[in-house]
This record gives sequence, C-alpha cells and structure tokens, in this order.
Amino acid sequence: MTQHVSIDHQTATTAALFADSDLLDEIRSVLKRPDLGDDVLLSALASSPAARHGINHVTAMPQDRETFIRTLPVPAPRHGLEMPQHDLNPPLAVRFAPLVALWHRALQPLAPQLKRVPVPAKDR
Amino acid sequence: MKKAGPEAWSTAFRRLAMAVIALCLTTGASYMFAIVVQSDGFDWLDIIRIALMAVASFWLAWGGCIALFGILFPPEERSTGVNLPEGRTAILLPIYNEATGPVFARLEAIMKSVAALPAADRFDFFVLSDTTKDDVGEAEQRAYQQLLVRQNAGGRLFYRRREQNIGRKAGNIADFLTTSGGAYEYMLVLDADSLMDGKTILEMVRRMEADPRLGLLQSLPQIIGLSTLFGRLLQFATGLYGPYFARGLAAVQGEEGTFWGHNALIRTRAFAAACGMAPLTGKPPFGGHILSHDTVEAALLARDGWKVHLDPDLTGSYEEAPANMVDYAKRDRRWCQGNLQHSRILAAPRFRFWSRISILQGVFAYLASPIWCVFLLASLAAPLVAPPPVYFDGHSPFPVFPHPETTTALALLFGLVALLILPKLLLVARALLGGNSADFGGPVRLLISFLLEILLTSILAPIHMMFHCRSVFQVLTGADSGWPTADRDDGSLPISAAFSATWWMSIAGAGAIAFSHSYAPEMFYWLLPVALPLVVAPLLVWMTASVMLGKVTKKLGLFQVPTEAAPVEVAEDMRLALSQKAAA
Repeated sequence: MTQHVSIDHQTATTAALFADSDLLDEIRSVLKRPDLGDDVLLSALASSPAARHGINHVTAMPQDRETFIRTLPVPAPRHGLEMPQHDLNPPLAVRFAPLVALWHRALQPLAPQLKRVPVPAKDR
Repeated sequence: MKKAGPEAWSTAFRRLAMAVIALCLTTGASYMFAIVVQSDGFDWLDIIRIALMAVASFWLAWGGCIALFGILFPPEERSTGVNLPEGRTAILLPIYNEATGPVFARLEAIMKSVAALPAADRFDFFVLSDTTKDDVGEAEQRAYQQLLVRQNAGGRLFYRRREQNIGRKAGNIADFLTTSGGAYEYMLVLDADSLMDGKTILEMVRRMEADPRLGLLQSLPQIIGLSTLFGRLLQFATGLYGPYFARGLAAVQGEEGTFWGHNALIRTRAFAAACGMAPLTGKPPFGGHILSHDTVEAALLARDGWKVHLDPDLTGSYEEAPANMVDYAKRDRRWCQGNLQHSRILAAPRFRFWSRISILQGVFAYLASPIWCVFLLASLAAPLVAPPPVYFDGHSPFPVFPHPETTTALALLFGLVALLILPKLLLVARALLGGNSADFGGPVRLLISFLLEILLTSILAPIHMMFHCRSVFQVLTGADSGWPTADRDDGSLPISAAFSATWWMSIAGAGAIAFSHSYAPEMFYWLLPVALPLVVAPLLVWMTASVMLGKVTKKLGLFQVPTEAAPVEVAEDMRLALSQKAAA
C-alpha cells in the first residue's frame, strides 16, 4: 500500500529528484516495460499522487518501492496495427470490376486476331 | 479451395432443415389465411394481407425453429488445454458519459477475479473513454487513479480519453488497435454494464489458443441486477429461454456465428485486418459511420476465413439491461437505426451467405412490427372494401351461401399462438423434467412464473410493437421526437414519464376500437387483445417499472433465476466495491 512508502516532503521537482537515480530502470524492470522512456516515466511520476511529494528511493524497502511503482499511471504500450478501411457498399463499377476482368480474360483467346493489316501489304 | 469438413456439412444440413420447416409452416399458415379471407370474396387487399401474413408467420416460425434446434442440438465440445495462455490479452472497457461509480466498481470486480488466476500477468485492462462531458471525464480520471492504487495495477491498467468520439464505439476500439493493439494477441471487448468472471475469461483465451482459425468467440451474457417488475421479467425470460435460443443459433450459424458487441474475445490482428469499415456514402440514417457494427464485424471476420463462434456454454458472463419499457425502447431506437442501415450492406462483396442471412435477420427484427401493424390496419379496412356477397352467381337457380371458415380461422389463430408459446412450453417442460427447476424457484414457482411471463409478454407485446413502429418511422423520416428524461438509479419511472412516452398509443388504441365498433364490427373482438393494452399503455409501462412489484415477485419466489439461487461472486464483489466507494 502506498502509505507504507517512505515519503520525504521535499518540494523539488520530480525530474530533478529521479533523473539520475536507478528508480527509472527499476520501474521498467518491475513493470516489464523496457519501452518506457525516461521522459514518459518522469511524467508518470509527476502525475502520481505519492510522487508529487517525492519518494526516498534510497531508504525505502524494496517491497514498498515495488508497491509504489505499481501505482504509477504509465501509458499503454504503443504498438499500433494497420486497420484498412473496407468499402462495404462500393459503386457498381468497382463491384463488377472482377467480373469484367474475368470476361475480358475469357474473351482474349476466343477473339480473332484483330491486328490491322499494314497498308502496303493490303495493296499488294 | 478448402474442403468442407463434417462440421460444415452438419451445419448446412441444420440450416436447410430449419429453412424447410419454417417455409412449410409459413405455407400452411398462408394457405389457411387465404381460405379465411376469400370466404367473403377475393379482392386486392386480401392479396396484401396474405403477403403480410406470410412474412410475419415466417418470422414467427423462424424464431420457433431456433428454440427447437436449441433443444435438439446441444453445444459442441470445445477442445481446450489446461496450459497457461501464451498470448497477452487486453480487456477493453469502452465508456461514454456513463455513471462513473458503477463502471469502475464493475471493472474492479473483474480485475479482482482475473488477479486470482494463475496467469493474471497475461491480462491488461484498458478504460477507453469517449466521454464528452468534462465533469464526467474528471470523475473518470479520479476513479482511475483510485483504482490504480487500490489494485496496484500500474502497467496493467490504462485510461485514455478521446477528444472526439469519431465512429462511436467501433471508432473507439479502432483507436485502441491503431495505437496499442499490436502488443496483444487477443482483446476482450466489454460494455459499460458488462461483468465477467476471471475463469470464464481464461477459458475463452484457452479456446482461442486451441484453435488458430478462431477469430472471435462470443460468450452468452446473462442479465443480472434488475429489480423492477419488467427487469425481473426480462431476467427470467433470458435466464430460462436464452441459453436454448443461443444454442439454436449456434447450431445453425456454425462458423459464421454472431457477435453482440461485448463479452467476446477477439483475435486482434484478424480484427484489425478485416474489420475496418469505411463510412457509407450519404447522410445518416442510412449513410455515414456504420452503426450496430458488431454484426458487420462478425461478417467481415467470416469473409476473411476466420471462425466466429457463439459458445452458449460459456457462462460467467453477465450484463445489465434496461429496467423499464421506456429505456428498452430507447435502446431499441438506436439498434433499429443501425440494423436498418445494414440494408445497404446486405450485398457487400464477398460476404458469406449466412452472414447475409444474419444481417437480414437484424433488419427483420425491426421490420416485423410494422408488418404486423400494417396487417392489422389492412384487416380493419378489409370489410370496407369487401365485395357484397353474391347469392345467385348465374350458374345455379338456387342461392349459394358463403362457406363459413370459422374452424380454419380458429385453427390458424391457435397455430400462430402455438408458434409463440410452444417453444417456451417445451423449454419449461425440459427444465421441469431435467431437474434444474430448483434454479427457478422449484416446479410450482417455475410454472406460475412461466404462466405470468406468457400473460405479461402477451399484454406488453402491442406496446413493444408500437415502439418499434415509431422507431422505424423515425429512422425512415429522419425524425426524433425525443424521450422523457427519468434517469432514476433503480430503473423505476414516474407516471408522468410513462404517460409522456405512450400517450399516443392510448389515442391509437382508442381510435382503433372506435373505428372497429363503427365500421368493422366483425373485427371488434379480434382487435381487443391488441387495442386494450394500447389504451392503458401509460399505466402498464408505469406499473412494470415498479420496484415494489419487483420486490413482491422476489419475495414470492417468482421470476427467480439461477444467479439469484446461487449468488455470483463477481457481482457480489462489484456491489462491495460500489458500497466502499459510496462510503468513501
């Protein structure tokens, strides 16, 4: 519980307090979130109610530190997926395009050779 | 091309059987009705009435067949292991201007249940807020911070609020997928009023991991937590009949199953690749973002070759529902617009045949009421346009009297009533003989509850029909006359709100009775079962929203459901969390 965490009442900014400590690495390790950058963690620490008053990260017991870490509002992992937009009511030209293509492909071998005869050859 | 397996063949056989049975019943009903209406001569209005009767009776027969198939075909055994899941699951709670306390109390109960699982670290929780009201948004932030601390859930519980709720719930889920979806193999989509047991969630993940082609797994949510008379009636009906209707649905849907938008586990990558929907051209109600997106998403997954299963044996899944008829009608109004909009995507490219049938079913769920209503109006008008009887047709020197068809008319009436009641009666008989009547208060209370349920739903049916007709009319004309605001926490309604929502039904019912009395006296008694409930609709809506009457039925052991006989742990945890919040 957070009330067991040793809190000192310094008013120094969160960044100055934690920037050079091992706490940020510890947070990444406890939360299994190596993707969390320092700036993200410092921002989470700043918005944490307990951390606003600072935490004595040197003297706090490990289990208290872990409990504290588990109350931090860290952001969700950023790993987005592509989500293509499917048109469910396409116009007829698009809807029948595969059929038209199929029709053309079917006609191709059946159609006569429509190559135009060169003019000199026709004259001969 | 993939060869159809035995499962696919048996599904195809069931579909064919259901279609044949429903068509035979429809043909029989239409034929009998044709005999009845031609007894006083045949005119153009009779053709319309027969057509309407055919459509409406097919819909009834279809519903009856689903219940019958639910009895005949038990759910298939799903092979799962006991291994811990390998993939990570995101449990998503999309919210939109909801009451913050109950929403976070439910989430806390689910988190507690999941925390007791051996694989608790494989599950993360996301509150996806689309809230537009700033005060509600601030309350959500505070509740999130408190829950984070209480559950020590840093790194497992996340909250995000969108500035604009583009695409509504579908857009909310899409936003999650495009920002964090890749970090999870599965996502469990909830509603603001959903509750799920941790063990059920784990079982769903195991089933998903056991079948790599399974794209979506829908559980069967049971309705809980309602205390009004209407709410208890709804709870009882869904608790007793719901599982069998779901089994019947699952039996004919096979791999092209259903998605109800919540309490379902989804394979994230499959969903992201298949279920992005471009807005439809034109303006709402038929254009714009696709509403009631769940049915369409199930169809899109099936289109890409993913299995979509409804597993009715997945209990431990709960939801709340509207506690009174006005709230029920409000929800139906939203769903009506979404389902009617689906008529534009019925012919979407590459949809599976059964997906199109499911979409059509959704459309018909709302068109059935106007069809019955037009049928009633046509029947009222029929005597006015009927030709006078011809006693001397020129072929015989003796008068030819019209042949009375009273027996056929009564047989048709009883047949239609049987279509409505027989499936329910079979399910009650099964509960009585199967020995699980104790879950519903014992054999006597179950029987009384069943009779009361039939009576009350029959009386309330015309009111539901009128609400549906109004919804369809509003969607088609783009109108919305608004709803009375009566957001009481216990679901009860003041008489003024009931009157404000249904006064027009009283006028319609009284008008129909007066018209019938003056111009179509032969229809008078036939019309009364429909028109009388409409006349007293405000009173009925108000009374069924009564918590006191609900409590009386509870005290008498009526409309009892299994979740009352054996309290649900996750629901108890939710109540505890809510009371702690209230105390704090």
